[in-house]
Amino acid sequence: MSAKAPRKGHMPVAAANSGAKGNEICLRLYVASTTPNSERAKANLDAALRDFSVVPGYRVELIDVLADAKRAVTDNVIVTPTLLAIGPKRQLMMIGDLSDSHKLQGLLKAAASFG
Amino acid sequence: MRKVAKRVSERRWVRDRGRTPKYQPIRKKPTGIAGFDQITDGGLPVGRLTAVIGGPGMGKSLFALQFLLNGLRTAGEPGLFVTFEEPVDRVRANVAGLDWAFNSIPENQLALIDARLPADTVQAGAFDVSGLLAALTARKTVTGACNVVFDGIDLLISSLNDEYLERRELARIDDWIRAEGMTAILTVKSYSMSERDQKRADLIQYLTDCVIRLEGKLFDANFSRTLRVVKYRGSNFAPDAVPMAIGHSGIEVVPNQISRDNYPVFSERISSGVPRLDAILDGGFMRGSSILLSGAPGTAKTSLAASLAAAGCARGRKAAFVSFDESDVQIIANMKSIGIDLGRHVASGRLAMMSLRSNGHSPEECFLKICDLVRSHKPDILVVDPLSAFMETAYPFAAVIAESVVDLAKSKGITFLGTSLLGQAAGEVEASAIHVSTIADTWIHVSYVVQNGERNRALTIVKSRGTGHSNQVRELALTGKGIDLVDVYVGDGKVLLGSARLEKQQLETRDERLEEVQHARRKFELGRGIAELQARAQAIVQELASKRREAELDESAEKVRGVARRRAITQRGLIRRLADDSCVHPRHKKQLGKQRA
Repeated sequence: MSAKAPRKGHMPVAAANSGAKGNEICLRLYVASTTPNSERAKANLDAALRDFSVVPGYRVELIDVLADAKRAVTDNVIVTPTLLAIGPKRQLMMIGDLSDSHKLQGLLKAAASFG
Repeated sequence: MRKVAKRVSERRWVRDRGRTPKYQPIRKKPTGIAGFDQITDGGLPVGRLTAVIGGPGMGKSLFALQFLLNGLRTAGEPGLFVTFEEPVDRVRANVAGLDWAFNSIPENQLALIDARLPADTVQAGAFDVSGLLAALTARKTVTGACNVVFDGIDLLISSLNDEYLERRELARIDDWIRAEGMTAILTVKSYSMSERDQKRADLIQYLTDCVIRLEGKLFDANFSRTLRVVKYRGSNFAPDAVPMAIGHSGIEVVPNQISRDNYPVFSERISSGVPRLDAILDGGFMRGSSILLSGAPGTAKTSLAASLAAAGCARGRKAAFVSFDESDVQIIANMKSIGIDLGRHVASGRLAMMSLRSNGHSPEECFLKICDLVRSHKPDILVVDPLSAFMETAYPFAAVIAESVVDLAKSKGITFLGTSLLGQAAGEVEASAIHVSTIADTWIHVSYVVQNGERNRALTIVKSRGTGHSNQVRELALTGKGIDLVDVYVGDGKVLLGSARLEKQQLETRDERLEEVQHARRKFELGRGIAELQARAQAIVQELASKRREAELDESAEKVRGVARRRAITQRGLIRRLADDSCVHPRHKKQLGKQRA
């Protein structure tokens, strides 16, 4: 693992694989198929994005680690669901089914200030 | 054709429907920790979850890594090590000091996986470990890993902060392991601070099939580690806490089950290096036996031990001398002063000396060092001076460790000599040596006898299994030429040693001489008296004889006189009658004439 992608500090998700282009912010959600937690996370993220339109340009990426196990290895996914907000310079991680809408909004606000 | 095949499979289904599946007894996988595999009768359960629970620094990760390493090295099974707490490079650094050559193992054989979440990760709601398990499955299909370790899993699942959710994730891991046929270790920290943590630890114990607790305790200033198998589903195990040590080859466990059988037996005798001691032992120590040498400080225990080692080396055997009290150099110098040259044997490589300061190592570490020495040097004679060093701490396994040392030697046919520091009182001797004395074949006790302002060493053989031995107390003398045993003076209800013995012996010889002279004088005097009496007796006999003669002569003179007197009387009467004849009848004259004729 370490031979393929050198780890940077506490960031297990490979930064080289970052989906951010220019000032665009990538919201990547790792889920485990249709497990209850994952389903809830998808719904919660959708709802939050509907209510919250501050983020100027974002892209949502949904990765099913059960379908794409190789991706789980390379991105070193530990828990599902994991939401990763990847900006051009930094990224934020949130784990859980995103049921805490305050925390989720906080993350999205922080992600909006990335650019 | 297809019809037939279908029918066969149907028939098989019908046949198997009513049968219960065959359950195989639990299979085990060795951990490579010899003592642990012994107490669990084979190692960890294959295809199941094992929890290793312990406080910080107890060696949980080390245990798990050692298991993975052993699987790889002995069975060629690749492993996965998932760390939730420590970064991968720190895990590598931790084991770099061991003789495992861990960092030369390729990634596909033993993968270290960093499963720590970034420090600024925000948790919003419940999560599961499906992602990790999916990643592990992917790795498994690539490397063919059989064993997996979740190191510090409690750190991740504790953030769920819900008993139900935690249980669910542990069950998920358990299901995954069974589905994938992997053998797994979960390491769990044992805090007893909060009720929640305690519950989690309990939960993990219930969910797993085998639970091992690593504990540590301070005895006086010595830290002592123990390992305990708390549960083992489907298997018997030794439930006692056993001593454990972390050495440079990793974790080692000292099992406290001593077999005491299958010891090699010899009839050969081994010289103690002291001819008189060999003599009273009926030819020396039995080869492969264990000897306990007890005594107060300074009773020449080390000297006797060194003597045995030196005598063995002189015969071309190998010996190992383990010392707790003194350094090698000190012992060699001290022994030289009494004519035992250990330095020569060290130089020739026959004698290996090891100094373990008893306060520097825990008893189990010392034991493991002795094991290493026995493995590397392969001695015929092993000396541990003193064996009682193990007993000095408040450490509860001291006796077990001491027995294990004896057992180790016996199992390899090594003649073992352990010294034991004991006080003077007889009761104490019995009490403190009791553990070792039961497995020691020969027990020699050296005590001090204080008499007339002088200390002397008295040696007795308390017991000697399988060899004849003297019941006599001997005085042990240390001279520049070595050790010697001297018969003690026994008499007048006393046992005398040292100068008292010498004095008594000299006194005795003087008395004997005096007695001889007096006897001669008495003999002379008596002789003279007898001679005198004989002379007197002779004189008396002679006098007696002369008296008898005198008496005889007197008697015969008396007879003569009597005859003469009677004749005179007769004649006188005759004369008177003649005078009367003149007036006598002629017939009477005739008669008278006849009488005269």
